Amino acid sequence: MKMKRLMFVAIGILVCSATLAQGQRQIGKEFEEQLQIVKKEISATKNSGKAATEQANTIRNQQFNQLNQTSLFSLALAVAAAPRDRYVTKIEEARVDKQVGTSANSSGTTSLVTKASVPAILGFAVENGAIEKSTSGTTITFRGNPIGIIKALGDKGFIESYDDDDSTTKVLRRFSFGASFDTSRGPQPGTFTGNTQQLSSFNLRFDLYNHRDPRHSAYTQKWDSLISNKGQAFTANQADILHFFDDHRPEYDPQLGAWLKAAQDAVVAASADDVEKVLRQQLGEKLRAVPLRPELRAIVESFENNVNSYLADRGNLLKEVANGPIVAFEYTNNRPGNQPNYSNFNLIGEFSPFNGRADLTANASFSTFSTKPTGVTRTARDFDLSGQLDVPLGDIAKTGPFIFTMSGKYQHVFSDITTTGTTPTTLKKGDIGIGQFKFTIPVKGSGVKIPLSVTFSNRTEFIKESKVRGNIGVTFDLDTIFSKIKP
Amino acid sequence: MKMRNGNPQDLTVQPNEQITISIIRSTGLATEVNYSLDGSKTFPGTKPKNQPCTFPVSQNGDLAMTMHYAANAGGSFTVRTTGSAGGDVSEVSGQQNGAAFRTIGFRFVVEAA
Repeated sequence: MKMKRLMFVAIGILVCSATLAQGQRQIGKEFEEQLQIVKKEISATKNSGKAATEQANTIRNQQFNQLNQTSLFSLALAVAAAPRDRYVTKIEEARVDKQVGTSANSSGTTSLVTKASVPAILGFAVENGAIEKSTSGTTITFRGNPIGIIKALGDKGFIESYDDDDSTTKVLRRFSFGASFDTSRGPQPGTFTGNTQQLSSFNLRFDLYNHRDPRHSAYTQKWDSLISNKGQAFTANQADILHFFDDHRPEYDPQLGAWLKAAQDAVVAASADDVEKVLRQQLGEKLRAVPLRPELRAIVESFENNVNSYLADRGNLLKEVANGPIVAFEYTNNRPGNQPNYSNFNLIGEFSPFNGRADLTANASFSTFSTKPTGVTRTARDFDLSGQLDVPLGDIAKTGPFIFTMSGKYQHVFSDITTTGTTPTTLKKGDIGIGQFKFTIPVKGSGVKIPLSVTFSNRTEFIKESKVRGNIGVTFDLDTIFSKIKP
Repeated sequence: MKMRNGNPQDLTVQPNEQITISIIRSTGLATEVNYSLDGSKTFPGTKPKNQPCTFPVSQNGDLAMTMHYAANAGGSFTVRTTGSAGGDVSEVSGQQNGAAFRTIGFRFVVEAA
């Protein structure tokens, strides 16, 4: 058969959040992460509707003091004691979780209404962290794993204690599941009812071999060494730092005590919207204005060195973990609606060849019809082989990750498959080959990535015409720019 | 053991009372946990997270305890503290977000005999 060749060229500019190489993780970023945790907790207290006195007591005694926030206060002291430009800019640049687009909850893609019954159960699970929910177009996907459910039950007090490292949960951690619902289906299109008509697929996944779990036994010795040496060293530093806040100790520093009292008063007085601003002010310029006694300064410097060394080693360990091989099996039951239902059995393999400098993913899958359609002689639907090689190029630290990607897919369809509906389409039996080359160019410091790709295919069923699609969007994080202007 | 001002980490204890600190719930933690009483590098020292840490308090002291997160997200913990003389049971919880570790402190004030 003469091969009909088609080429699609796609150029797009995507706005992505910048990522930070694990090895570069520094004390400034850790300070930022811990600041966000306490901000979230205090904001929740302020939005709780409790009496002002109760809120103030909670903040002073349980959320913002040297005991509950020992590591945040120690990190703040280290940042305050360091030369002014050592961390401030890095703190702004290092943020990876800053929301620069619309939030997940305010997606404008759908106007779906979640109703009771099945959605209520799923909604409860989502609200309590047992299951994750995502929406794309008219499809709502729920994903979860047994550990998430155990954790949610624990947080709700249904189980007294749990440890996700015991032998049972180690096995359960290898399982995950998901279900997708197409809300355009059923008697109330556009409304999520969660019934079987809207169920478009469900899947189960089991990790057969996973060296990307940081708690795999292969890494135990490295974790233990890191924690018992560097972790213990900076923990001892922090116990020493606590003495300077403790008015029952001879080391107590009244100026630090006065700062703490004023900082707590400021945080208590702040509105929920101003909590972050006030925390930054108190842990930044106000703390920097407190003269540190030489003995405290020496402890803080030791803490800074120990933590930075710990964070660098931890980053390297997690980088090694991220490059570990993984093999998983996934079963998906697809219910496309306009095609016969089918089951897909997929073997997924991923590893990092060339000493971790590239990432190779391979899939081998086989699909069978759930019920053999009329006119089809075989239960087997298709066989599929695909692979993708991602190769980061250039110096990631200096320019960001340029990524060259090669991917290919071969599919053999055993029988003609005709869709139902007003405009039926037929996927003819035979071989389908698709290949793609992609080059992703980052724009350092801007959070922008530009992907250029060329795609080849020998067949075009389900594709009525060639498409060239471009998306252009630019988002700037002004905090990053301002921090460079005025560190 | 009694909490001072409702603070679960600011504790009044009796002379030589045995304090026990346990991690009763955890996800995403590394196996080992660090403890340091008054800046000691060895006491109580580094312990497995699934074993309670017990030690006597004979004088006013400050203890730092560090939990280490084994990944970049999804970690959490709840720590329970009790005293051999009974009294209050203190609990402290934390969520990871993106942090690498979390150190919490305890202040022990010994009641006059």
